Amino acid sequence: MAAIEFEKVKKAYGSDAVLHGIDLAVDKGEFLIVVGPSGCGKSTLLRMLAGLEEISDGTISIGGRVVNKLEPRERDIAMVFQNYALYPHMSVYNNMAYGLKIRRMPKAEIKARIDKAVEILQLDPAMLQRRPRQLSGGQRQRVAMGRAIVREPSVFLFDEPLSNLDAKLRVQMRIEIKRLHQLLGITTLYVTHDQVEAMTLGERLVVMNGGHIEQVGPPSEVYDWPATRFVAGFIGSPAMNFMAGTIDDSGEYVILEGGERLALPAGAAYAAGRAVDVGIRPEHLTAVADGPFSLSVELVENLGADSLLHAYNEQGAMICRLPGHSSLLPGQRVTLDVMRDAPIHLFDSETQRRLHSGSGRSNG
Amino acid sequence: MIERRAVFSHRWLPIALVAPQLAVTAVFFLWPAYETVVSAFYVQGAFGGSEHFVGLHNFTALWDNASYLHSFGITLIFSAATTLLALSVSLLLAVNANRALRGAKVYQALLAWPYAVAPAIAGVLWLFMLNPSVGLLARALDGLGVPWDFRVNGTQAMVLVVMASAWRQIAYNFLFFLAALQSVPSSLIEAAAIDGAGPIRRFWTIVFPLLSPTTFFLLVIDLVYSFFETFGVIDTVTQGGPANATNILVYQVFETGFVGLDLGGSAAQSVVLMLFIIGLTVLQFRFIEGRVRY
Ligand SMILES: Nc1ncnc2c1ncn2[C@@H]1O[C@H](COP(=O)(O)OP(=O)(O)OP(=O)(O)O)[C@@H](O)[C@H]1O
Ligand SMILES: [Mg+2]
Repeated sequence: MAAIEFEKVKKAYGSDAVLHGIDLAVDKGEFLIVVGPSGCGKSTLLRMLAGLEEISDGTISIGGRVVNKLEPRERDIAMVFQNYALYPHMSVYNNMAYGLKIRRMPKAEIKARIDKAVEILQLDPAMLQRRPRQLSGGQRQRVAMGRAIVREPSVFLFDEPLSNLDAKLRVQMRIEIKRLHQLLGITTLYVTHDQVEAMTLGERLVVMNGGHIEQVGPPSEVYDWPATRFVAGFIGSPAMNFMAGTIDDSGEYVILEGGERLALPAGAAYAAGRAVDVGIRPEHLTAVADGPFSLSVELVENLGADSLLHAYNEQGAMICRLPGHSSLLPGQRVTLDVMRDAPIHLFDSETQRRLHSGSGRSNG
Repeated sequence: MIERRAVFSHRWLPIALVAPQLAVTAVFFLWPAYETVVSAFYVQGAFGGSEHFVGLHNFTALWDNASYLHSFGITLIFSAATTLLALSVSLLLAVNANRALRGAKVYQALLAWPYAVAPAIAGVLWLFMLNPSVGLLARALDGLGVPWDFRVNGTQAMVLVVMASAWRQIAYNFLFFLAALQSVPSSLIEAAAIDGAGPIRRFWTIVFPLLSPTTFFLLVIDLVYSFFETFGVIDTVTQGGPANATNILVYQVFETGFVGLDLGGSAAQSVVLMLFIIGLTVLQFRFIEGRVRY
C-alpha cells in the first residue's frame, strides 16, 4: 500500500486553476523529489498534503486514510519550511519541544527525544538555550529539522529547505538530509529548484510543469529518457541543446534546419516527413575535425574538471561540455559532432512527447 | 558617498519649519507646566493677591485629604478597567479582521472613525443612549429588568464612563494590533498548526507573545489616555458623580482648583499626575530599549 496517494488532485484559487489533476503514489519510506519551474505548483502540492491549503478536487490519502478534511495536526506529518519558521520567542529547546508538549508527552521523554535529535544533527547542546536569532542560517536549518525529527512523524515534507544557505553549507546539509533519511527511513517529499539536489537526493524524481506532472521516475532514468521536451530541457545543467528537424523519406535520418543529417536511433518506426525536435546533451557533443555542426565560438567557461563551450551558427546557439581546459578562443570556428554511441533525443514538435524508447545511434 | 539625510539648502528653513511646533509646545505645555510646579509650593489667598511659600505642605496635605485619596482609588479602578476593556476589545476585533483579511480594508476604515470623534461627543452619544429617561440602551436595560440610572448608581456611572472612554481608544488600538498581526509571518502559524496546535493555542502561544511589544506600547498609551485625556468624558457625562463615584484625578484637579479655589493644592495634584506620566514614559523607554527584538 502506498504511504501517500494523490488521486486526481486539483487546486484552484478562485477561477485560477493551479494544479490540474495530480495522480501520484509515494511508497512507504521513499524519498521523493519534486522539481519544476517557479510557479508550477510544487509548494501548493506539498501544502495540500500538509493540510495548509484546501483541496479543490480529488483525494489525498496518507497511510490509506483520506485526509482531505483533516486538520494538519491529525495528519501525522512534519514540515521544514524554506525560511525555517522557527518560533522566535522560544529557545531552541522549546522550539523542538513545542509539538511534543502539545501531545502531552512526559517531560523526560521530550528531553530524551531532543537529546537524540541533537546528537543525530550534531548540534551543540549549549545551543539549546539560545533563541533562533542567535543562530547562523545553517544552525537554524538544523533546528528546523530537529523540530521535525523529534515528532517522529510518518511523513516528512521539505519545501526548498536549503535554498537560503550558501553553496558550501548546502552541500553539507544535502548529505546530512540524505544520511538522515537512510537512518530514519521516513517517507519524505522534498521540493527543490536545485539540479544537484534533484539528481542526487531522492529515489524518485517528479518533474512538474504548469500544474501537471510531466514525468515520474528514478533521477537517472529521467535524465536518460526524458519523456517530454520540457523534462529534457529542465533536467540537466547546462540544458540540453535542441534543434528543429524533419524525418527524411527513408525514415532513417533526421534532416536538421541547417541541412545537417543525423542517423536516427533504432527502436522505433518514424513517419517520414514528421516535424521533430532533436535534443543532444552538451556532454554528448565533441569537437572534431569534420562533423555535422559548424559554429563560431562565443565563449568558453573553464570549470576546472571540464569546460563549457558556447558556440553559435545561423540556427542558434549550442553548448558543448569539453573535457579538461579548452584553448578555443571567441570567434574561432569549431566543428562539433555527436559522440559515438551517445543518445540523441527525439520529440514530436506538436505533442512535445518523446518519439522513441530506445537510445544510441549508429554513426552515419 | 551617499547622502542619507534629508538635505536643506538653507539653515533657517528647518528651523522655520519646526518653530511653530516648538512655540506651541512652549506656550501651551512648558510654560503652564512650569507655572504649575512653582505654584505647587505656594498657598494662595482665596481671592488672589496674597501668596506665600509653604514648601512641601501642599503635597503632604494630599495624604490627609480623604477625597483626594478616594479619587486616587477611583482612578486606579477607572484606568485599569478602561485600559483592559480598550485593549481586549480591540485585540478581539483585530484578530477577527485579520482572519477575514479580504474585508480588512473596509473594516479598518469603519473602525477608524470613532477615533476621530472627540471624546466629549463620544460621551454625549453614550449619554444619549444611556439616558435613564430617553436613552435606547437604558430602556432596553429596563426592559430586561435592570433598573438603570447612573445618576444615582455609582457603579453604573463608573461602567458608563469606562465604556465611553474605552470606546475612543479601541479604534486606535485596533489599527496597531491589526498591523502587528499582519506582520506575524504566516509560516510560523502554519508551523504551529503542523506541530499540532489548534487555533486558540496558536494564538496564545505564538501570536500573542509576538504581539507583546505592541501590547505594551498600547498599554502605556491607554493608561496615559485614561489618566489625562478622559476629562471631557467625565465632565460631560457625570461631572465626577454620583457621590464622587467617578471623580478621577484629572477631574479632582479641576474641582480643587476651579471649584474649591485651592490653586496650590490643585497644582500639587497636577504635579503628582505629571510624575505619573513621566514614570510611565520612562518605563516604556526602558522596556523598548531593553526589549529583545525578534
Ligand atoms: N494564495 C494564493 N492565491 C492565488 N494564487 C496562488 C496562491 N498561492 C499560490 N498561487 C499561485 O499558484 C501557483 C503555484 O504556486 P506555488 O507556490 O505552488 O509554486 P511553486 O511551484 O512552489 O513555485 P516556487 O518554485 O516559486 O516556490 C502560482 O502561479 C501562484 O501564483
Ligand atoms: Mg514554492
